[in-house]
Amino acid sequence: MFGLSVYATQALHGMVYGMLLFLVSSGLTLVFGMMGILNIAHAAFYMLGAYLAYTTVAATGSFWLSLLVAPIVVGLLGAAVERGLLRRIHRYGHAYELLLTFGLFYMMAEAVRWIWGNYTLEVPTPALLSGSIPLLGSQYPVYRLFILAFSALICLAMATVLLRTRVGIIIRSAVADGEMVSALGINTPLVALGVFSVGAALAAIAGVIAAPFLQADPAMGAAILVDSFVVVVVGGFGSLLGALLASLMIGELQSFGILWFPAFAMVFQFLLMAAVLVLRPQGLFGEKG
Amino acid sequence: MRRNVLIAAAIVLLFLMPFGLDTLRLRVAIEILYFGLFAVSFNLLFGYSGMLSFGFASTFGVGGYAVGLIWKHLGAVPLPLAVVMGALAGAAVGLVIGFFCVRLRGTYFSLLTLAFSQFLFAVALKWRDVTRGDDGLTVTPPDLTLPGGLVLHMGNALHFYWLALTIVLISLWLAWRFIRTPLGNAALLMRENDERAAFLGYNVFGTKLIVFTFASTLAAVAGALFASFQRLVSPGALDLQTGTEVVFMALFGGTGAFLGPFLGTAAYILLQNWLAKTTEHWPFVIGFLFVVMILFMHTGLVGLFGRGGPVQRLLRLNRTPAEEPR
Repeated sequence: MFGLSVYATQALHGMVYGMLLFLVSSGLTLVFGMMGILNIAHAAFYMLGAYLAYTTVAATGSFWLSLLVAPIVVGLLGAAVERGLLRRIHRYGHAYELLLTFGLFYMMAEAVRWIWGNYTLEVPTPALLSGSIPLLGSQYPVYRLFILAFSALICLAMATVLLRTRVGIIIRSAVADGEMVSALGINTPLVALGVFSVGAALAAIAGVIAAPFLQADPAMGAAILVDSFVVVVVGGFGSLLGALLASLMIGELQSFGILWFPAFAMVFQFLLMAAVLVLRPQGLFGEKG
Repeated sequence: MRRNVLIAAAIVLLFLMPFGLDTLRLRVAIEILYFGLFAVSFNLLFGYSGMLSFGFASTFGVGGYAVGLIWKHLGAVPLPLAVVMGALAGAAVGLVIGFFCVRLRGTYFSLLTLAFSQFLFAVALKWRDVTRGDDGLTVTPPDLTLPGGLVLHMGNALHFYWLALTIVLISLWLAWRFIRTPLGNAALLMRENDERAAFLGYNVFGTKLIVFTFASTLAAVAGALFASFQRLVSPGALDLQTGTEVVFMALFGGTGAFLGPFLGTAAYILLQNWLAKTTEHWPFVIGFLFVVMILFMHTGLVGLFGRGGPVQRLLRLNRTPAEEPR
């Protein structure tokens, strides 16, 4: 039906989207693991990253600068949200924290429409990465390969920090048992603030590198929101490895779903999520039940 | 006794209210009626049983599609009967979804309900032969002849208001009776601590499933009224937007009181109508109010005006028994 190169290209497409999804979901799953909050506003951080990229590129012409500006701005915003809002209502329970982040998502989604307008904005591909190269029997855009390489790099950096450094050990223990870590004299609220803020910054980075590929669009937050939920559930709450594998799985599922069953592509991931929640609620790699 | 008189007076007033409203406002009132019922049924889950559903629009939409299909294929079924059939469809779907969802707690529950509603949304969007997809299904409620020979015209907002009000009042009464049963009390216990409830010998799964199914049934009634009034039901009726709007409405009013969500719906819809005229960015204002409310008064409007709230304290309406003059 299709040539081999079509499958290979489609698989690459799936991986590209999967890695983007991983950048967004990694912060989401770590925050959930540590604080028990499913941060709905996380998807808005991603969208904000893409729009900040647009503004930075429009103002300075430098895509690389936006890769620095967006995570800093959004990271600070994330810190403010955690410190100023979420921590205040911690004692009312997770349902209200969830609802608060939901209200924030609503606000930020509309704020983006307000500031940048209710239409798609094009972010030019940086000159260095434009064009395509022959790959696997067809032409493949260089920029998508850059997304793949860059997010793999960040993934490696994250793994190094989490597995090889003292901060990483503290974060992983706080995910596993926050109370115990706090009893050992570690300032867990500060760790939580840091993780929340870095998670937001990662989402912004994902938004920046997604911008030339998917363009900055007011609906992009809502689009990735549900996908990243699916990733967090399927991979297991709090598990980075799970998030990585689930992201790639969702990416491929969408990519091939559209190729083979265009009418039902959007159903597959929900069936997957429902199946995981029913059969193994803690997710593929989650430990807490 | 005094309370019953007050309730009767309020009901009479509600039936007479349309005479003081123009058609445009009457349409808003009808909207408040069915969305209010929707929010109250949502609160049976969230406020009374601690289950925060993000996919509650699914049964609302099912009720809408059910009556649409009934009138399309079975002809002129009287509206109350069609609504009952729609409610049964909602109950069936609620039973199935609930069977999978109520085992889970907290965020897991919220996400699984979301998954089911997205699934139903996709079905409504893609199964074009039955649902007509994006175009939406036209809903044509037939005129209703009452036993006395009186005919209620469905196109007449006044007639529809009376009919919707009757159905909504009956549903609210049922919901009120429901939470007063021992089973309703058990649901409250499970909201606070379902592990303890299980150790006390309560059937947690069964209780939650019954509450979930009952709330779904009422949501389907609300959806059936919505579709009959709009004369159209589209996949939008069961998407995330509808599912989250009901959360907003219920929380605006306050989830701690039975009629809180109804009050919240009225406030939300009036506010939204007013804001939409003032600024095109009204969702921002709504989101902002929502955040402020969760931060500072998560008891909602009811907390503001209700017993022991700041307004009553200010007006000295609510004295403690010790202060009561004898």
